[in-house]
Amino acid sequence: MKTWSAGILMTFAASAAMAEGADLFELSLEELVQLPITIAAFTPQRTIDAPGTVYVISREDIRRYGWRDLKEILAAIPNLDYFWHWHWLPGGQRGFTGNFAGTLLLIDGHEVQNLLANETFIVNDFPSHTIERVEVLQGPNSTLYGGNAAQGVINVVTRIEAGPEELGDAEFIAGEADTRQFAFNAKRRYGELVLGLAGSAFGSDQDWRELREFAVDTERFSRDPKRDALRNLDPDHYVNRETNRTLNGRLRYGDWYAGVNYRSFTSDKGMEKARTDFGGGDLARRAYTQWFAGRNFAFESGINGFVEAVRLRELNRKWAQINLNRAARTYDEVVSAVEYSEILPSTRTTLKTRWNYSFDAQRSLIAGYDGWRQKMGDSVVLRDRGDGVFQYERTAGWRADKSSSEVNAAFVQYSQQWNPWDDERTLTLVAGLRHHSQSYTNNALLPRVGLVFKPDPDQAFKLTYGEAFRPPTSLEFEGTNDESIESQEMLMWELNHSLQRPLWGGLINHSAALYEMTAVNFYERIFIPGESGSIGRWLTQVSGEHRVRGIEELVQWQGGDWLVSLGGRYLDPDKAEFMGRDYIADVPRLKLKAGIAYQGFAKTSLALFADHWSTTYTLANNVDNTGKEILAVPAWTTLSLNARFGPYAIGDARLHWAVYAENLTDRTYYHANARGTSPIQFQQAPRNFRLQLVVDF
Amino acid sequence: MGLSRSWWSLKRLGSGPGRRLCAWLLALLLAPPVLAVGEDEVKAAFLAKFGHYVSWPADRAPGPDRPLVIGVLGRASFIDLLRQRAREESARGPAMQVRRLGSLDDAQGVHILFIGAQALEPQALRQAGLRACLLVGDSNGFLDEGGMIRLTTDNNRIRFDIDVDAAERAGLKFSAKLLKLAREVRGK
Repeated sequence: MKTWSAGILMTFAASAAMAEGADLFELSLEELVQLPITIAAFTPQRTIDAPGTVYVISREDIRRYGWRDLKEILAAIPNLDYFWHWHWLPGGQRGFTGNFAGTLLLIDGHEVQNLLANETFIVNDFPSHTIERVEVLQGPNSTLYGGNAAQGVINVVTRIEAGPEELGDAEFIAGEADTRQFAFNAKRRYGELVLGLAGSAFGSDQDWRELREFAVDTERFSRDPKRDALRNLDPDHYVNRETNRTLNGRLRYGDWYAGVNYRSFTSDKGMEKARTDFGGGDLARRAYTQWFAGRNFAFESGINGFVEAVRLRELNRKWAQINLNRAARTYDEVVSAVEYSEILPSTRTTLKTRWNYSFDAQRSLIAGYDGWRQKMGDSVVLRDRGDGVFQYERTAGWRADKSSSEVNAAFVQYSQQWNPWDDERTLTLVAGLRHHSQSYTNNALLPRVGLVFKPDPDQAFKLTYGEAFRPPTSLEFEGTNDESIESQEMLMWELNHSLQRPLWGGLINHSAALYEMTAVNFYERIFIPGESGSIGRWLTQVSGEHRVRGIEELVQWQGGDWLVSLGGRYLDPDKAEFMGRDYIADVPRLKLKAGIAYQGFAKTSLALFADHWSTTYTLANNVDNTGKEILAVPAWTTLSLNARFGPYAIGDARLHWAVYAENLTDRTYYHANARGTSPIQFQQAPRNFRLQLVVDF
Repeated sequence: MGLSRSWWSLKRLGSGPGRRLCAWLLALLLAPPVLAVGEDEVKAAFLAKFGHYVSWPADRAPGPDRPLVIGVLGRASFIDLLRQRAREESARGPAMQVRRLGSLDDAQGVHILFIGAQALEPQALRQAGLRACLLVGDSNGFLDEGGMIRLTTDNNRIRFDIDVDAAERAGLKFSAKLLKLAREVRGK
């Protein structure tokens, strides 16, 4: 009861002075105008003041470059890797790979990791039309954000949360491969009441000719004769369809607020057809609904904060071709065995609170509590008992005894600024600590310390040390007999230089970071192909320690009609070893990003964005299937173009339209598979075009 | 540093989630109502800053013996933030006062008036003909209704639009710096 009591006492003790925004009042008018809002320290502040490395991709960037959804937006982050394998978006930050299991995904600050595996689950279901900005924190941030913020945080801020108070617009997109997207935002104020609603629908066949031919190319794609014998290798039977729906609602009345985030995603990868991923579902549906309600507080005495309750309900269903006939040797012998499996509805109920207090303009304190109770539904399959009657059975290896879990975590962060030089130079210390207690794993004490030296108000040198962790999930217990699994731990040192100042009639933003991150108990779910054509199984692999050193840089200048950005990263990770040869596994050492946008023409704006990944190496079956080899996935550069036209007045409404060309140079390019599963590389979309219409009412 | 084995068992935290939730809700209900945080903080900072970039007629201008008075009409979610700031400003420099207004009739002596969305009928502002009062708002049609500065969210930032003519009619002048930083300047 101690933690709960402490929380209640904090609520009643809130009686000092209101001053969260005290620093804002010290900013000049020029600084206020340029003030981007970040989540880095839980309070609005400029990115250069936030300890660590923070990137903010604004609505202006999204609009001008024409990015359709979150996947495309994340391509702008210089040190974030992903590979799109057409099921979902696995990846990692700063040279780490996996299923984004070390990245915390938030929508307007509300955690939407999947409950089954605590992974950041991204498909085509984050339409950029509904996004005001995306904030990406690089490196461990568990002190404030808790478990899973081991590699960083992605916060998707919606337009109905942070955009203007009166919104009404709609977007229509039509593209090749029968791709369609519709999205809208609506927001209105009625006195003290503010209501917002946004939604989207997406569908695409994703069946480009190059892709269907590649998926049945057993030499380049799969290199697995046993499993290839069980696949339908007719490219005309290739299926790769996705549909999804989203709905976000917001309500604010004075200090009270509530909201809902809903997502439903269906992926049809061709049940009984040609598979694109051995480990993925053939016809899968995933959906979640998140409800939240809370209240903001601010007291004359200066303490302010909030109390919030969140409930997330998740559903996972899958119809899969599964080889129950262990003796099957051909595709025809397999197709009769289709299995329906489901993770019965799972829920997580979270209570969180956070309080800020500024002692004066130089010193402030943040304290808070996060706690949740989670109940995972059983993993079940629908099986024929043998007499023609189907019944549910619990999946073999499913650990029902680990289905209920809970977390209690408390954190505190203290900030102090000094001005010993009697000029504009300042030195700020930000030190935080979280105690995290969770079922079936070890407790954690997670510190984060940042020292920010600002030689002038527009630039900062930031030295940061942070620790983070990622606890195991129900999925990671599956197939094991462990009573507890030690959490993954991440340690980081980082030196960052950030600058944000007027230049050549515009504003330049720059951030460069030199870092070292070490993962201890680094583990990921890997797929072990089965013998004799059986599907195989997933296991949790603990890889010991993995260290990545690197440097990353992003500079952007915006002035007049121009927007120019340049980014890159260079990695020096621990190398893997195979047959006496060292290699960097699954991630490119070098990545470069460059963008340029111009809107000086009458009713026309143009933007080009280039993305370069150097050669990536991954371990794969060799071509003659006698063993493994290190496969080199060639370096590639993609170029995308967005041409936007408008506005055109239609009554009171304004219309924009745009043409977007993805992968303009039509180079065939691949993402290496970093999950330890087969196949070993995934072909991306060839050159394709899409048309966008946006109407502002 | 780092992870340590379970020295704080979960079981010591007790059970009965319903009881705990009730306790939290009780705490929620008993706490006094105040303001929301978010973009309003930045808007409040703007409001406190505008006074440095506006000239009032000599007989109305704030000075050593006449505090700068900021009035808030309608939605006032950041009024506490402004009041705190007013206390700090007054302690170390020219005095500043913040008033919550019930109607335009209370605006006598106010130098900067923030008008929340839908706090007034559309024509009320023009009909009132307030003199020497800087009218700031954040509703969509605020400048069309006679307002002088409209705060708005644009590209992840709070920006402002200005109507110079409306200000001059009320006897106010804007500094060149304020006009330069405005997103849009109407009039003249």
